[in-house]
Order: sequence, then structure tokens, then C-alpha cells
Amino acid sequence: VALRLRVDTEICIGSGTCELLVPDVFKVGEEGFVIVVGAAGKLTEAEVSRLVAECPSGALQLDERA
Amino acid sequence: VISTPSVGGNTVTFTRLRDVRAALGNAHLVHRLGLDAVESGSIVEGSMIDLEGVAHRDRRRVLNRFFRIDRLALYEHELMPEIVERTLDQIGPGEADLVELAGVVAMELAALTAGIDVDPDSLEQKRDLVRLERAFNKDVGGEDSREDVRSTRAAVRAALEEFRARYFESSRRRREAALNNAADVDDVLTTLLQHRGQFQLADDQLVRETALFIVAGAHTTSQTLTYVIHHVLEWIEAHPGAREELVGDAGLLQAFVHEAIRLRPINVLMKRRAVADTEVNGTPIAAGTIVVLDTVAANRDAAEFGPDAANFNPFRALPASVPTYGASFGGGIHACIGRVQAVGVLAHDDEPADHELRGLLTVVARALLRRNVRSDPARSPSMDPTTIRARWLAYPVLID
Repeated sequence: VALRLRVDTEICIGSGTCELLVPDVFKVGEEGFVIVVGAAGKLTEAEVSRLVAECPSGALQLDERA
Repeated sequence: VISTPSVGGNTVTFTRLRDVRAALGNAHLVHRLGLDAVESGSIVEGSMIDLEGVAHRDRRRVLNRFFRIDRLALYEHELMPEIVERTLDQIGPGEADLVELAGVVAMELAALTAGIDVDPDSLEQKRDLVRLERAFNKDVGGEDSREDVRSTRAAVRAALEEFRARYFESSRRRREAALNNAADVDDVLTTLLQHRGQFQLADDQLVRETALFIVAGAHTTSQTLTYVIHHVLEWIEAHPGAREELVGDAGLLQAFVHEAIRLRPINVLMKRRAVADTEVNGTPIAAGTIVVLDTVAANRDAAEFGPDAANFNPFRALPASVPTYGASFGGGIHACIGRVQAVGVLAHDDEPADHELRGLLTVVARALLRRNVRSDPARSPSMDPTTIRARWLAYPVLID
């Protein structure tokens, strides 16, 4: 089963870790929270795992419904 | 900070990394231990550490921009090397205390971020700010203190007043003038001045918040760097030629930094309070429970880090889902804001290194190794007996 990533912008604190790791997919916008700007569906499983592991706020989560 | 006692022993302790991380990310487990957890006038009162919910999120979103990739890349590639080399030149060769040296080296960058003006050429001023930062830290880490917190309270207040008079007021005046003239000043204090209406920030709050950024930037760096150098020197002693290899390979040195931080977290225990009934990986937590997160145990969890988890092994292989530094930077909305500035991001083997960041600790450790940092055989390191945190009091070294 492919890993699915869920983004909760309500709790995002805008650390920019995701932007640092995958800059062509994530940006932190002017309002200070994450915006998906690229093809998140093309992220590898390792990238998804790492994004979830390193997102400090927990805004990037594994979607357990996947 | 005064901890609210866990009435009736209503406490749950987690020691596994997966549980600690789940607890840190649980929105029902809050950082504030009780309504009276922070005494009025404490350096922490009203700061990001003290806030919860939307108030915390909004403050953090505004201040996080000082720790995002564009700013960190500028710091790392242009400012850090210059600041580190200049400060080490000012300290000069010979005997040094690594704890103080690291604090002084980190102070210029911490002050730059906080928005406190420091003369880059004045070693005396940087040392003075380290002295004040050490006093402030008694408030930040107060709940872990073995001292009577009330007895340190007056010293902390005095240090805050000294900080206000000697550093804060002039820094604020310069920033207010710059804002009036639309000049290009960009730091935490300037940003707080711009948002003081939105966040309802009184003058005292501005002093506390900037002081807190000084502590966060300098204190943790000084303690962590001491552990890094401690482990690196032990490694070098056991592996001839390793010094040259580490100086020549910043990525390898960065892996040493991450491993030292995993093994030696500064914040050895984290606490949260359940504001509603919840659960952590199947363990029920009733509202009102104090949840204790044992960072040291979690970072040595053999299920995650392998059978040699208690040993220093910078070459251990970990899956992408396990942070190389364990839970040392906390997690959830109160995760350490300066993590990436401190330790960068380790490039994995399968990832491009076009945006790699090594972090301040690697930059400073490399500079010290180049200057042949070594233990001072005539003097022994000592730990701070006044706190349960594993904090160095002094670490004598020699540098060229």
C-alpha cells in the first residue's frame, strides 16, 4: 500500500522543514504556513517517511486511511 | 518556572521513542503544566514557550521565518564562518573553557537573530551577554533545578533588568527609528515591535522574549557543542587520523553532531499535561495526567537505534522515519525553533545535496578541530550540580 501524506495547515507552524527537504513540492507562504506547490503524488515512500519524521508540528501526517 | 505537582501521583512516563514522539504530537497534551505553572514575571511568561493553541501558533508563524531555508543558508554560508573565526581569534590560543567558549561563539549569532545589538569586535560584550544568559537560563530550566527556585528568582530578575538597561533599550530605540524610516532591519525584536498590537505585547514582554532567544541561541549551543567535542575527541583518540578526516568531510562531522545530540539530549525530561482524555499508542491518558517523556531513554531505545543504542556510533544506519537526533529537539508545536540552524539537515544517500545545511554546531566544531582542540590534561571537566539536566559546568581544553 502506497504511503499517503496529509497536510494539516491548521497546526502548521511554518518551520519550513518540508520546504528545505522537498522545495519543488512545498513552500511556506506569506501567511506562515505550508502550501503545496508541486506534485506531492510523486514523492517516494522514503521522502514521505522523512517528511513526517522531521515535520516538527506534526502538520505533515501519514494518512492512515491509505 | 514552578511545576504544578502531579496530584495523587497521576503521572504517566514514556520511555520508547515512538511513544515520546506520539505524545509530543498529541494536541491534548499541552506544554503548560497548570494555570500557575509560570510565575508572573518569569522570563518564560507570555513567551512562545508559555503560549498554547492559536496564540502560540500565530506567534510562532511570525517568528519562524528567521529559521527558514533562505535565512539559514545566508547565515551558514556568509555569516557563521566569519563570526566563528572572528570570535575564536578574539579568544586566542591556549587554555579555554569549552562551555564558555561555545557560548561566546554562539552569542553574536543569537543576538543578531534576537535583535540585540552587540559590537562584533567586543569579546567583553559577548562574554557579558553569556553571563546574563546563564542567569536567565535558571528561569528557563527552573523546573529541573536542584536549587530552591525562589532563591534564584532575584538573581534572574536582576539579570533581566541589567539586560534591559545595557542592551535592550538601545536596541529597541534603533529598531523603532529604523521602522519609522522604513530602514532594512529584520530580526525578532523588530518583528515583535511590528506585531506588538496584534500580540498585545507590553514592554516587559518584549524584554523577556528577546532574552529568551538569547538563551535559546547561546545556552543550548554551548552545552551541545561541549558534548559534541567530548565525543569527537574520544573518537579521535581511538581512531588515529579521524581528526583530519572530520575536518575534510563536513557531512561526516555533521553525522557525529547528530549522534552526540541523540546520546546526550540537554533536556533529559519533557513534561506535558493532558487537557482531555486521550491515548498514546494505546495507553489511555486521563485528563489532568502529567505525562513525563524520558528523552534519554527514548534516544537509547534499542527498538529504534539498535542493540548498541547506548553507545556513540555516528555510522549507525537508520530508516528515514527515525530522526538521527532522536527526540532531543522535542516535537509537536513546541519543537525547538532553532533545530535546523543548530544541526542542519543530514543529506541521505539517495537525496541531492544541492540545498544541504550543516548547521552552526558543525561549523563551530570544524573550526575548533582545525585549531587542534584537545582536552587539557591538567584540568578535568565538571558537571553542573544544580540541575537534573546533564549540563556541563566547565570543560577545559587547549586550542592552537
